[in-house]
Order: sequence, then C-alpha cells, then structure tokens
Amino acid sequence: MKGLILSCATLLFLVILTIVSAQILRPKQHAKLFFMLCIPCAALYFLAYELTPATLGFLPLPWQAKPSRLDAIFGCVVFLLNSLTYINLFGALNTGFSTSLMLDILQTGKDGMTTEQIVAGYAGDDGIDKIHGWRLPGLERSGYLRKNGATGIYRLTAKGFIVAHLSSFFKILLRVNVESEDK
Amino acid sequence: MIRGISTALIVGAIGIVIHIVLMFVRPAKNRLRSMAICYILSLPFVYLVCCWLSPQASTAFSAAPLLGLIHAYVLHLLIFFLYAEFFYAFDRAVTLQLLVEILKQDDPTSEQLKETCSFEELIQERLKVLESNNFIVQREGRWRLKVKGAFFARTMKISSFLFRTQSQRERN
Repeated sequence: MKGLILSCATLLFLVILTIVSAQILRPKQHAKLFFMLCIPCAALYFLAYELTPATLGFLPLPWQAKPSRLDAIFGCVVFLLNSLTYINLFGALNTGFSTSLMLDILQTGKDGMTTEQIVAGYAGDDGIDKIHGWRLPGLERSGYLRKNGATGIYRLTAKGFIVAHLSSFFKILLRVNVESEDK
Repeated sequence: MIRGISTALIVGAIGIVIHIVLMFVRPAKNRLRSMAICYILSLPFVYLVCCWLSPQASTAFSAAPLLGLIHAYVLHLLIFFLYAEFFYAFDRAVTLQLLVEILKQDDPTSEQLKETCSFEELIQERLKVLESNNFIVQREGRWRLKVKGAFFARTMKISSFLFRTQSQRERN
C-alpha cells in the first residue's frame, strides 16, 4: 500500500512541477519536457520509498504489501502509467486539434464561425495550410521523410517507413476509422 | 500482491482481446463508450479471478487479500487507460495519418498529398465528430458551442494559461 500512496503523491508533485516549469520555461514542446521531468520524479519516488517508514506513520501493519521490493516497483509502474495518462490527456486537451477548433469558436462568442472561416484561420502567411506548411516540414526535419526539391516527391526514410508500417498495422488491428467506412 | 498483479494482467489482457474481436464483428460508433462498457463488465471478473488465484480472498476480508484486490483493481484500470490511449494515438494523430498516406500512395508529390490529405476535409471531419459528441452545433451555416462545448473550451482556456500552451492555430 505504501508504494501506491507514494506513487499518488509523486504524481501530484509531477503535476505541480510541470505547471511551474511550463510557467518558467515556456516550452515549445511540452510533452518532451514532461517526459524528462518524469525521470527525476521516479527517482524521487524511490528515494522517498527508501527513506520513509514501512507504515508511513499511519498505515496498520497488515496493510504493508510484501515483498517490499515488489511494492516499490509496483508503485513506480503505477506512477509511470499515471504519468503517461496525464501527458496524453494534457496533449489531447491542451494542444489537440479538436480543442483548438472549440477555442476558436469560443473566441467568436455568440456569432459562431463558418467552416470557411475556421479553415482560413489555419492557413499560414503564405496561404499554405498547416498540414503542408507545418506538419510535412516537421516530419522532414525529424527525419521521417525526405522531399525531392526538383520533383516535389515525398519519400519515407527507413525510420518513417517503420513508423508508417506500424501505424498501418495497428490501425487495421484496432479497426481505427472503421465506423466511418461503414456509413 | 503478486496474485493481484497477475489478476489485473490476465483480466485486462482478456478484456482487451475480447474488445478487439467485438470491434471486428460489430464496430462501435463511440469507441470510448464501448471501451468503458467492456471495462465495467470486466470488473466482477477481477474479483472472481483474484478469488480463484488466492482462495482466502473470498472467505475472509483481512488486510492481505483485500490489498491484493486493491492492487488488482488499480492495475486493471490503468491497463484499460493504456489501451484507450493507444487506440486514440492511432485514431486522432494527424502526423501518423500523413505517414500512412505517404506509404499507401508510394512516393506521392505534394500535389497528390494535397488532394488526398485535404486540410479542409480534415477540419470538416473533426467538426462532425464534435457535433456528434454534442460539443458544437451548426445553425444557419455557423458553428456555435453548446453548453458542454463552452464549458470544455473555458476549462481548456484556464489549462492553456496554466501550462502556457498555444493552440494548433497559434503554433508555427
């Protein structure tokens, strides 16, 4: 039980730490920073587990999970799984595409927006939309694909090829978007 | 404790496999709801498997077997969260969708990609999803937030202030 309690306390600490770091550092890629903060937090969890008494000062003796090493590892796994959920939820809710659309509509108040107005908001200064003006160059920069300047052809790199194949496999396995195909 | 962990792994894995098979037989319109139903239906099995693995859990509610059950239920919940996150990583990620499209088309040009990965279509698709989930409504050709959507968007505004995030539109 000690592992579970400490993992919850460490998660709370991680949430506070991410808010404070985001305010101070104002990162461009929050997920990267959050993942990096998980490592010292996990180390802090193990340190707290070692330094605190087995009962944490309030747990009855029968509530001590045994073996204690397994309890410590279990608590760490719970902390990591919770952190992953927290980071994923953060990404979906704060930087997700659907959230962004709703924030745009919120800003217009009662007037609302037409689809054309929404689409226009996502075009860059050169008029190119965010997929072609931002996502594709981003994938090129991170080494997932290469664009032939002369022909304009996009080609997957070895890294991109593996990710694309894995994505394709899991999309089939999990029946992603299958309901829209059925309509 | 080991029994609790084993229970969560067994029930969680079986639950996920059953959900995947069911999606092949009859795909659900709302995946999150179907996952939640699958999770709720699997809850009694956590207890049953835990009792089967450690018979004393069913007879006496002393701390040790109860502790095993708590570990089992916590891990079982986190396994289902992981499954839902895994599904949505492939369902919603625009970047992965782009990579798969490039793989399917076998070295497309930017013009071909513009046709198949139309940004306008992507936005229309997302607006339809938001509409079907009762976040927004279209009246006289204009999209407006519903109560649920307005609440959600205001909460996100506070959250984006706390974390200093930029929306997809603001990013460059």
